[in-house]
Amino acid sequence: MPLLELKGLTKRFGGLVAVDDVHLDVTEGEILGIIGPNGAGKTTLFNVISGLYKPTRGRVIFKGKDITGLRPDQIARRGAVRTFQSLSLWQDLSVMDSMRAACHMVSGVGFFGTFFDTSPTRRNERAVAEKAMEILRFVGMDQLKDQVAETCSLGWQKTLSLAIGLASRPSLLLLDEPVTGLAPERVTAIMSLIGRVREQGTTVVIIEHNMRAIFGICDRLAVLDYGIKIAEGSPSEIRENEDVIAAYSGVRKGVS
Amino acid sequence: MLSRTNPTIIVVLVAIAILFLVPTGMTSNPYHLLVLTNICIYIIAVSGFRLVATAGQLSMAHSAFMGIGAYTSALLVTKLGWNFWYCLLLAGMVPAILAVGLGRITLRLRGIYFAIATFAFALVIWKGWNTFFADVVGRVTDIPPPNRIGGWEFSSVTSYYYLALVLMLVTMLVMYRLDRSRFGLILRCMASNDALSGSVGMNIMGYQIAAFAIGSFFAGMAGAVHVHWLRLMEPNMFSFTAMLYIILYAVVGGMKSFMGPLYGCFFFIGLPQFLKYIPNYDPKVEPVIFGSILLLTVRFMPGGISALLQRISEVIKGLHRRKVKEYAAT
Repeated sequence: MPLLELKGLTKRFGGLVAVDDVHLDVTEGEILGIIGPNGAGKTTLFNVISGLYKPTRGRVIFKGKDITGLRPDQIARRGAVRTFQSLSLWQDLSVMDSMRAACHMVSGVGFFGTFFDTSPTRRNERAVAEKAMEILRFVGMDQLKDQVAETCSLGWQKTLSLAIGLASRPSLLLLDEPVTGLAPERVTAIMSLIGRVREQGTTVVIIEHNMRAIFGICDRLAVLDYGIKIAEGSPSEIRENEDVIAAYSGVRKGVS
Repeated sequence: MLSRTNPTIIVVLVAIAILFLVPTGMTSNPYHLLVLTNICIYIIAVSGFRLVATAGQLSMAHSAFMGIGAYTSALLVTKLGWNFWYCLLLAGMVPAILAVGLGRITLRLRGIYFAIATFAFALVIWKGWNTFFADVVGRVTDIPPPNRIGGWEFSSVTSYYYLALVLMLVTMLVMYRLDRSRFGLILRCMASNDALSGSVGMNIMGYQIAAFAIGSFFAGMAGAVHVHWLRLMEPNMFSFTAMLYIILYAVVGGMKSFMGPLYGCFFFIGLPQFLKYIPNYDPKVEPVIFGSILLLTVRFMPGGISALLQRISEVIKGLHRRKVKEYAAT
């Protein structure tokens, strides 16, 4: 059984069909890349999976259960966690506070437990701080724990974004452009991090424009163009695929 | 931890001691006590406003909730003869429950739209009350002072000052604990980036409503304490003029710290008392001065007085971690 199944997923904005009848299976333990030209509907697809948008049609099945239309926090609690494109952090929070916030689900504090400073809560918070530090060490940001997020460089901000995603111990991690716009050595560092994340048992889906990075790390790739999935397969298959080459080079066959 | 915060604790304790000693000889002028009582009451109200604002929402219904709390207590005590202390609690509960209902409808709106929706709510309450209920319960007079507790009476200026002071300190303590708790962290997260907050599993709607309800609770309580002090109330007391002052105190005091409301209230209610000594001073120019201060604050010191004090203390402590900053830029 696939970990995540998209069944005929469609998202319309008025007359625009951003995601058009997409069927896609994500197998447990793999790294799946989603590529496609700008405006192909990749981020919209993530937004629908993670519950930010409700799909117009179709279903999202996660771990065999229908999660279509659930709230983002409900979907996150089931183990599907996403990061955001560009610089979507808590810009004015310190790195450590961001991580404490990111550990919200694993903090084990209930809704009302967050208001009171009881001794179990304090024990919990200590455990959370330790866990946060552990992840910061894992991604190499432990020295920066008191730094305000927006004062970190682009590379560290993207790393923090990944660390925030990891904090929830997700079974499925959806990464939206984790290395776009970064210097080559940062790209290598983050990509090897993602590889280690998979080794720890997390399934990863990546949207990325950096072709060298994504062809290097992904087991499989799916290609979107104008909201339609035009190809799916191993990196070598995709490299040879004529529809993909046409979509990227702007030559549109069979479209009048 | 304790040894590191020791200087702060000493400052706080000294400040509290001074506030408690004021009536016993630091000033014989009851007028000063009236001003201080007013400051305490407004700190309670503004703290509530700031809590909601911490979650990223500007509640324009805050003064209306003050009025609702004030009416709840004033009417129950005056017309039905209920005990003040229960009514004080109810004066907080009624706005809190209303805020839960209003929040369910309006908190889906973000930013300016939430402000407009709560503004509309306040307008409906205010106009509605003036139109339909003004004849029956518009103006409430002869509101009795709080019931005595043991040997404590609350009819004198001094005793009422102590009541307001204790309630203010309790409010500040609650706000401090909330700020330091995970709840406070969640509120800051939601204000900063609600999409990301949802994606790490925070129940945005639930926490927004909680913040709105708690903030409105303190608004209602402050309103009740206010009218039992003045012994009379009328709808206009909690109109939009009051709302504007709440925003003024909160913004200039600083929204980032739970201490902001305290600084803001002392600055704007306390300092003008000294302006009176200027010859030919006309209080009519106060709104102009206050408005200018608000503009200057927003432009040059968006963190308000609390941020200014924070920066000063950082400079004194020499908190410059240059090395870490350099690493962060790599």
